[in-house]
Amino acid sequence: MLSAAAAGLLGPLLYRVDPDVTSLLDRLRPPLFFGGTIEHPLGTDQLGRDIASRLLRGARISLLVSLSATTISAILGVALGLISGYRRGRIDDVIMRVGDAQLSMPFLVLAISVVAVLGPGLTNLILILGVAGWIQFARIVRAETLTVSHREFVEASRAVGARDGRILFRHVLPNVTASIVVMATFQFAQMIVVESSLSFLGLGVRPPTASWGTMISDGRNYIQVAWWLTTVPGAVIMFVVLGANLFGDWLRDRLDPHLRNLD
Amino acid sequence: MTRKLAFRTRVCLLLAILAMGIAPIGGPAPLGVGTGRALAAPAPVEVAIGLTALPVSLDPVQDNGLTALATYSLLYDRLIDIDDRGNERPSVATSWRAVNDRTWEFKIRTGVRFHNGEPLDAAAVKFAIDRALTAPQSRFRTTLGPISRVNAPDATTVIVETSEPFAFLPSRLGTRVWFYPPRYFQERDVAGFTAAPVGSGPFRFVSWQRDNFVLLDRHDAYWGGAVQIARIRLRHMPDYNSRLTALEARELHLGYIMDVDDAERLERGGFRTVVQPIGQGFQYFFRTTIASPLRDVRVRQAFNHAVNKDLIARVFFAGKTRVLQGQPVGPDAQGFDADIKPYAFDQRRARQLLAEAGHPDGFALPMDIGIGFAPRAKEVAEMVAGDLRAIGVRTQIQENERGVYLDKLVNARMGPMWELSLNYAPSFDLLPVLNNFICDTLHKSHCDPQFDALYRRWVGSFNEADQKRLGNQALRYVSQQALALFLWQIPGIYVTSPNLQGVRFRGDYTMNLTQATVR
Amino acid sequence: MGKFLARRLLQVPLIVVLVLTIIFFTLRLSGDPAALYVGQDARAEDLANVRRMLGLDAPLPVQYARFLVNALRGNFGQSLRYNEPALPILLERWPVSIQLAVASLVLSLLIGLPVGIVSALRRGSLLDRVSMTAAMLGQGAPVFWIGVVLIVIFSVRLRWLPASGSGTWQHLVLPSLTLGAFFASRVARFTRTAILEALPQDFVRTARAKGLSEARVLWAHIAKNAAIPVITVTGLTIPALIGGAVITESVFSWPGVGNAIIAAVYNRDYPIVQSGVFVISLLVLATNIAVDVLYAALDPRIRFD
Repeated sequence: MLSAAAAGLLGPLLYRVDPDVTSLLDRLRPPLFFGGTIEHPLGTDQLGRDIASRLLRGARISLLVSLSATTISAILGVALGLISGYRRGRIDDVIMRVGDAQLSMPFLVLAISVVAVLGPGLTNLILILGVAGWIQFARIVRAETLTVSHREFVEASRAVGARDGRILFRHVLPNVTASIVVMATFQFAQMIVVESSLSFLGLGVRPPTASWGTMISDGRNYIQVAWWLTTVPGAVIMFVVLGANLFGDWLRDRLDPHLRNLD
Repeated sequence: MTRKLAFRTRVCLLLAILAMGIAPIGGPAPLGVGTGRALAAPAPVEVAIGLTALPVSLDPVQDNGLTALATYSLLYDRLIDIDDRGNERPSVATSWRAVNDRTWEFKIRTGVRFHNGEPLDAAAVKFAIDRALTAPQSRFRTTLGPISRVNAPDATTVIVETSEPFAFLPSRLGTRVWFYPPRYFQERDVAGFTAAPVGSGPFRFVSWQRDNFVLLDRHDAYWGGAVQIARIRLRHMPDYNSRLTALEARELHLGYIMDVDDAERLERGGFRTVVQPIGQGFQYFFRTTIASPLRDVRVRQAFNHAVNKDLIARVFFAGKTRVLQGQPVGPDAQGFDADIKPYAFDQRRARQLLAEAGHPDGFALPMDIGIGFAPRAKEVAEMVAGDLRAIGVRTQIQENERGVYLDKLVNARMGPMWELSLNYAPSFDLLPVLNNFICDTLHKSHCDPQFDALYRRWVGSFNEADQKRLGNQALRYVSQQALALFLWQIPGIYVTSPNLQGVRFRGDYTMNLTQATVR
Repeated sequence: MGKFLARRLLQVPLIVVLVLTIIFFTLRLSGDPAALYVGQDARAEDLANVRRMLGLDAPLPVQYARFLVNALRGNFGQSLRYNEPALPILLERWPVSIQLAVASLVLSLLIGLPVGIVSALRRGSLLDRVSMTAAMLGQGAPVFWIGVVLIVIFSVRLRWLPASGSGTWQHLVLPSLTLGAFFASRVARFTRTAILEALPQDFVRTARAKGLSEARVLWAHIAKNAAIPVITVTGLTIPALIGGAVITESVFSWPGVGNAIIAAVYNRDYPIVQSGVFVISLLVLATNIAVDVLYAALDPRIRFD
């Protein structure tokens, strides 16, 4: 994932092909080794733009949106999930029922009305995606907190008079990290794709700016004449998700008290 | 070290899995006869047709969309039919004429009966028109014209009176009102009729499921002649990939394909394409009623010179389209003027015009496009934006989802330049076109009292020569004023499987299946 | 438990009213439905007529009051698009949606659970790597891409299974595989993580020390502890399978609820969207009550009273 981020930042400096230059004569060229040429190593899109340079340029926006939105979801969801699972009772009811209400609503309606009220823009896009994902984290964290907060070590520290905040952060949170990490990698992958589905609300990027999600969705109707339009960015997302998972595994191994001792 | 190895294993696996996924799509598709197992099966008893949408209801007053016409035209008949070039042909009406400038007379064909045996006479015609004008569910109450009264003095005559002179009555009324048996309808009311509709068309109703399918059987006693196909299944398939793959998997005999590349690929496998680039003109409208550099006619003309319409149309529609010749309609419209000089692709001239208008360095301009209206809308927008960038105009493309787009359109909130696929099917006259340039239109793109006066004289003129002259004058005004960036006519591309033959399309995108056969 | 259930059931109408209120107002921020129901060349008076006919000319609070009173009686109004009562239009698509949801859920559990368990127990083995990579592929690949690839292989090339439509079990295979693939990968990943979490815990060691067989240890302790996160993920999945199967439904022309709701959003068919949200909210609430009941049943220490 770091290499993807580095590619997004440095790539455009090293690989100097303009991602927005169209060339109708060169459209739908396949990648190298599939009948293409070195000139466009990953082929060209429906407007003859170089896919490799669009991937590099799109990396910035896709990673920015997806990472920030996932972080917002995770922070919101983990905090509310911890409170819900630890305190239970009324506050749990309120938090979880708000989540239920949100799960019942089509995401599109929320997005459209947010645009109507707040207006379009990248910040609003990140906010919408971030707020939309919290409940997934919250439910997972709550479930694990429910069980963890009855384990011996939690009961023990409560018995010696530890404050709730300390118990949550020192004892409960480390025990739910593994699930948070798995959920985060899922959300991360989803956000990249979902970003593109909101561009028509003026929320995503505007054409001709490249993002991985829009590259995939624009290639949708070309899937049979030019498979690389969707497959190449799809594969890149998968590589990044793979990287994110490995990073997540590492993070979990560092944070999880049980797994740390295992290796 | 182990982690590195683990990563490598994973990457290799990922590549292997990806390669498996890619391989079948990358290779040539085996569409030739004899490769698939299902082909050995006996010939299908029904013909399956994939449409982008079925009507919202089989009650023919409830859907005024172009896609609904396809279904209605198989089940029902109308006064006037449209042939494959967009010309009007007698159908239930054998002839029609203006008695005076507010009265029209239609002669009704004798001997036509509905599927249930009721006669399709003048009373049935009057019933259907009245209901289209008054039923709360009707989507035609405001679009048929200023009709004040309908009479049926005898079984073969229908008299239609209008509250003001309206020369376009036959083309509107004749192609949009479909007939059904009045007695049957009154017995069952709307809900009952919709559940089991009866018409007089070449096919009769068997069953349907909303937004899923409509099943029709051949009507053996069809007045228009014998029909070959025994059964038709119309399917609601809004997703492009779904229609495409269903055609390839031989689950459809006929499907609407918007993509030229895919159509050509299917043709190599024995499919046939029918292309119908008529009934509409695709363009970007300019709003002269709001502040923007586009208020200057020279800027609007510059835009028309700056865009390489021929090249873009050739690439995206592979010659299956017609480029608009400096006017909002194609040669299929009544009133098309072949003598209007198109704006030639000339970016030097465009820059010169911009400089004359006081914008030598160009300007920034928002551009509204719609999602889900015209095929390739986004690609086209990006190409147009590219050509405009060459003359110094920096456009910001704003995509608009269907509901947002229509909201902006009817509430006059479009930007100074916006996409419009201007439909003039099924009536093929200039009325739905020139309507867009009067002050009273909802999107408020242009307002000039002089043009409005000309428009009113034209709509009210019954002398054929006058009407032609005034219509032409109005069309030339639109052309000279460059009220839109005139682009091209988007082809309606239908693909038929090798075993379906004799399908013809009318100019209003409806299918004529009376002569079709299936092997 | 009885008290808990009673409290949760009492919350249901409250939440449903809340959800309906939110959806009512957010929908009305989303654009003018009259725009979709006049022709391209309509005039201002046509628009006003349509607004009046659709009941959109009344002040918003009046519209809201009318809506709520009718909704509480089970009447969600006439669909603007179909001119028929909205709720039945949605409910007629319910059976095919349930079919797809159940098939996908069963599939994703049948694949996801064993894969997750085995790769946790054989952590680091080739099997673990293969299945976890496949799971990551499932979470990263665009759904329509999986769908089209499956159709091209199994319908266009091999002609084994239908590419579109619904009705027979054959029609169900490819869509439920497509939809199930994503959720199977989620179930597998969470199962694996949950079991890894449960594995080294003291009580497993204790149980082993007491001489129980490996299999007994597994089922008695690990599965029970790992079940909580897996149930949670499944609970999150169920509404997503009904309302969120939009892309799968499109690619396979599957006439389900998800697409009906999305089409209604695009058409600003308020009554249909509102009835859709009503039905989905009941489903979400019911699922989450069931999930909480299962928590308590699995782990006696969890009490909600």
